[in-house]
Amino acid sequence: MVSSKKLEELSHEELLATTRRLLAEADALSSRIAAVNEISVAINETLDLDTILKVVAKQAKWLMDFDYCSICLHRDEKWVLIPLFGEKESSDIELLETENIGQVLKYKHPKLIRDGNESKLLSAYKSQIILPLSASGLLLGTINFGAKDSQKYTQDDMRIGYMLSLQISSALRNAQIVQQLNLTQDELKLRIEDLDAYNYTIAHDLKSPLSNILLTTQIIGMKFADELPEKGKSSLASIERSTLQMNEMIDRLLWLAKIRKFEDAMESVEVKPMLTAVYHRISTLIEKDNIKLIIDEDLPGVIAHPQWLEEVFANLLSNAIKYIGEDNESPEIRVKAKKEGEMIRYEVVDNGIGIKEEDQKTLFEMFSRVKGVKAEGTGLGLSIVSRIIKRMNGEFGVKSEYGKGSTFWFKLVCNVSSNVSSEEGQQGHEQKNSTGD
Amino acid sequence: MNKKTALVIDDDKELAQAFKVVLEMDDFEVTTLNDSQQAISEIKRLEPQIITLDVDMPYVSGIDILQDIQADESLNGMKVIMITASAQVNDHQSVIDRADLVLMKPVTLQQVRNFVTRISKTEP
Repeated sequence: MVSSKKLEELSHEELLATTRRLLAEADALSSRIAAVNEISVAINETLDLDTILKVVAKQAKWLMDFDYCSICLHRDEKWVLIPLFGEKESSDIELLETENIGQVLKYKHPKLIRDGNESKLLSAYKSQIILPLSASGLLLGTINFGAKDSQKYTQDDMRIGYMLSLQISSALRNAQIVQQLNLTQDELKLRIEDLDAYNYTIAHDLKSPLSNILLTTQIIGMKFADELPEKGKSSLASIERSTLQMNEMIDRLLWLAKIRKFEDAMESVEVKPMLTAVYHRISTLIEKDNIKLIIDEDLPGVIAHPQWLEEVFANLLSNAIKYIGEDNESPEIRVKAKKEGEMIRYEVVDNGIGIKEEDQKTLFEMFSRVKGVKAEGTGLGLSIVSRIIKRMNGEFGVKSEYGKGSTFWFKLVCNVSSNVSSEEGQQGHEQKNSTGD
Repeated sequence: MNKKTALVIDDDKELAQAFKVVLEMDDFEVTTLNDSQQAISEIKRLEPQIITLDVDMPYVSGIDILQDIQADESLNGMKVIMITASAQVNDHQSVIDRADLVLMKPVTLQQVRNFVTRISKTEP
């Protein structure tokens, strides 16, 4: 045998033969390492467990030349064997009790079997390589290769298998983490839905007692109009105002609770008839304050949830009315639109009191109100508008100059047939809504 | 002249009582009913001119009752005021809209009295 001699003792031909053999072995090994890398790239491209297993089953065959391949994983509180290639093993065997896979799971050391063993599991395979799969100190399971012939696997095969097992472990761990995250996310969604439903029910149920307070207050005011002193009448009026204010808050809570649910109901919406409906809702206020309301002719349609879009317009217009300013000599509110690429930008422009730059930042937060201004309302309005627009895949913002007026704008995706353009002046500070949910 | 009668159907006892007082201001003889399961039998027994009907009630909803009233020809002359909790569109909005008047909570005294005055004028 050539290998029993020292290199110095070899003849020229023997040296050449040895060199050729070593080169061939190195070449084979490098091909196998390249194959491990290829498998590694492929299984790390996905975060889906089944895809990972499919790739392993398909590509590792050449690498390990097995008659059988499986992966042992922990599922539903126990270790299970997932066959990737070859016959399915009996599922009755308790894996932890086996002499091959059980030992590897217990001691987390790879096992090379060259000529059969006494384990009932994989008894048809004389040669076996069983490698632990672990990542971040966590045992995930084992990968198992089997060949029917004895003496099939060498230490080199074991090393290649080990390299492969490291890659599979990390891919499996990533897939597991993603799976857990998805589960957590689903659970969170369910909890949020529960909370919304709860909020909705509470807000909804508050309406009856509130109705009773209002009605009874008004009954007292009317029935005892002659007997009540002025102080009593003014107290009743105060109760009535607070009740209506509370009603407004409850209404907004009802809206908020329902906002999350409307993504499925997005459709092409014509804005003009919608604004007519909104006008009817606010006409009393408009007339009371003698406000000139200009609604442009060219109002392109958008993709939106009709009911919620109406609420957006109603909110923005009542807001503009609220902040129009008590000593405004020619109060004016204008609604206009223009096309910006695929989006339509709607603007509600007023010549009211405007908003100071520092106040613009908190404008879209819940319960925020412009300081030092006498205006009714709970401050929930703009936070609702902001949420609604965001849920309709749009953008919402304000530009305003203190003392000169405000422009509240939003952008929504244009419905197909719209086409419009208009001029607009860019004045004042612009504050784009960036508040989170 | 026959006595004017009204039936207030609301599971909230206090609110039902408030409606009663409001309708009594316009000389109605008012019965309140908190258990909606007896609604149809009470409506048939009392034959009121006006019914105020809460939309959301346990067991039998105001929507079911309104549908029963409208399906029964003998009850056709009755005026129904539906009381809903919010402005948000209900799944049964088309049914609710068939009532003679739909009021949103909180209902004001004036809203009820305006309606009563209006139907009193049109009644023979």
